Amino acid sequence: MRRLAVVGVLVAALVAGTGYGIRLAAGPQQLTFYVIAHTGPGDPFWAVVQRGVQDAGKMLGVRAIFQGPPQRDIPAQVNMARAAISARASGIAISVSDPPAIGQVIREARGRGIPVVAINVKEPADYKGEPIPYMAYIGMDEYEAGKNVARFLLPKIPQGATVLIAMHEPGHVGLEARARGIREVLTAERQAKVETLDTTQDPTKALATMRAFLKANPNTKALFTLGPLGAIPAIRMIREDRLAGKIVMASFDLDPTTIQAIKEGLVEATVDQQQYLQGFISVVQLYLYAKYGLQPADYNTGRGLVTKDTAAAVESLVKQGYR
Amino acid sequence: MGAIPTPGLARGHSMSRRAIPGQPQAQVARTAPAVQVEWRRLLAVRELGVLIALLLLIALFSALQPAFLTVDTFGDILTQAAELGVAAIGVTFLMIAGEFDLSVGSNFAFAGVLLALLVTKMALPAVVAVPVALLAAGLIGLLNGVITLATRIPSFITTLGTMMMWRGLALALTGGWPISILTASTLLDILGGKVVWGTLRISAVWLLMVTALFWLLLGKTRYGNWVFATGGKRDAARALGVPVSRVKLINFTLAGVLAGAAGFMQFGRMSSMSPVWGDALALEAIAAAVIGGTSLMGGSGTILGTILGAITMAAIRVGLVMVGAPSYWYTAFLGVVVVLAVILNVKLEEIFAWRR
Repeated sequence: MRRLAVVGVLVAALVAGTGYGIRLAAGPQQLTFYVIAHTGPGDPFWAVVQRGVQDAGKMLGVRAIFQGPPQRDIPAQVNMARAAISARASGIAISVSDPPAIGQVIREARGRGIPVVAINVKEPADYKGEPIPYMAYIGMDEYEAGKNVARFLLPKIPQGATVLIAMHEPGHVGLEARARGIREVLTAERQAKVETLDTTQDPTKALATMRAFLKANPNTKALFTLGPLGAIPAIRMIREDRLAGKIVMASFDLDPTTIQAIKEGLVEATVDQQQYLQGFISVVQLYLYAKYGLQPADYNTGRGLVTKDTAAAVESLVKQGYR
Repeated sequence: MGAIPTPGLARGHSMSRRAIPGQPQAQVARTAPAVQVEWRRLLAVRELGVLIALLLLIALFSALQPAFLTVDTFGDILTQAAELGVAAIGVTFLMIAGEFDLSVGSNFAFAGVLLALLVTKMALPAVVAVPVALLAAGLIGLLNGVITLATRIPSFITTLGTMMMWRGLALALTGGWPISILTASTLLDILGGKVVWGTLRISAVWLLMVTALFWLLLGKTRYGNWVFATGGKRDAARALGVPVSRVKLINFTLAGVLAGAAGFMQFGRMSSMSPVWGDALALEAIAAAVIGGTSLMGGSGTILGTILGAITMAAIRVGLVMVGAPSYWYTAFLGVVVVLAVILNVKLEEIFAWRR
């Protein structure tokens, strides 16, 4: 009986020891990076980020995992980040979708020695909270991009016009910053009456509310949508109500419907923030840091606008899922 | 619009609420003077609460913005209510039979995405693709029913699970991308894109047709009585030979088919189908049904009430924009209206308790 117990304990110790040994051996070799967004591959935009993450992982021979909740969901994103910390990630890239909540997670990760970079969206410049210790920001400056696209449309917007911004995710820091950039330029340069409309992510509701707005505000001369979920119904409305020539429209991000509309002249321009880079470069930078201690650096992925001239070239890359 | 309450309608509904096949109907108000009976019947229409709410809102919005009260606006509202309304009819049928389906929004997206994939990637002709995708939507509904009945898990939980499952599969099928048809398409026109008259689109016509069909089914057929009996007193219904389980399975399937059809309509309307669309549909459909007087306990509800509920919700969105209300307040206002409409329904029911 006693011998049996001793043998049992020995076997258990051996199994546990071997398991630990295997883990020790495998641990440092397989670098694992997590890229955690506030929205998952459900948004066409994030599907491209995911692709960048996966491509970088393949090229570098590391595990690169993209995670995000089906819809914008900060608590879910925080939970995913916590899971990555618990899994002792070699590095984390995360969108600072909600500065206090995500800032807390980033501090926690850094406190445990996990390198963190921010992607896609960071806290606003005037953020009053505790500083957020990410090592670099890889993404577009949303506010500047809003100003850029508004400046691009300025020649086509008359003094004192009404301008509509279709907001499909109210409360989203990045989208609100884009809207603020647009609003500031147009109120300063054109004394425009800029209205923000909560169009929801439901395209039918978006279309009906935008149309109701135009009916109540016939002096509306320009329409800004902040992503494909706003652009698809807006373009539909421009087609249905034959608004081309009466209202100029610009949007953010690329999808087949928006590009087609730019080619047809229904939409003037869309901001391409080249989000593939946000996935790809963040993994590369985290890899270089983990491997050689090279410090991550800020990387501006927002490079201008897609217009009628460049639409066709960009289109084929969108189809392949890189733009 | 067939929204004007008629005495005949009222009687039909008060009868069928607790109607059990083979039993004589109790006509309580028979002794009252004839005129009073007519008046009371009018007041006892189950749709009265939502009708009052809708008329008040229309009056309010029209007073603040005269452009609200135009045929164009109404076409827009009806078109906006179309997809929600079609899905909500299925949900109402199911709720009357005492069950829920939280997965309609995911089914909406999955079936829509499936149809879009069949006609684009697989290049199937529409006459094949539409029935196949609709069949899939029906099977998704049936699966909810089979799981619920076979395991006796509450449908609230079953469909909470399948809601996540089908949404996830829709995302996986598309990689998250919306599937777009960028050229003119007869299929899209028929599904929801075509203009019928003014701002009225064909999706609104589909809504009216589906409403008429299911109003007849619920109010004028034996099956309709079975549905009420199933959600009312189940044991009594079973004892009287109502095939309770079969009724529920059929209603789950109908809810699935209609959710899929609503997804097709949105696909037709937008020329695109995104796997994230229909996200709020399940709760909005339940809200439309509840605003329209459907009980959360089962056993009572009407199709017209649900449609009026859906129209009310659409009218609030369009109306608030047109009167220039601050946009971020819409959802809050909608919430207030849902609660007020339900209070109105409950109070009216107390006042006219003789209807029971």
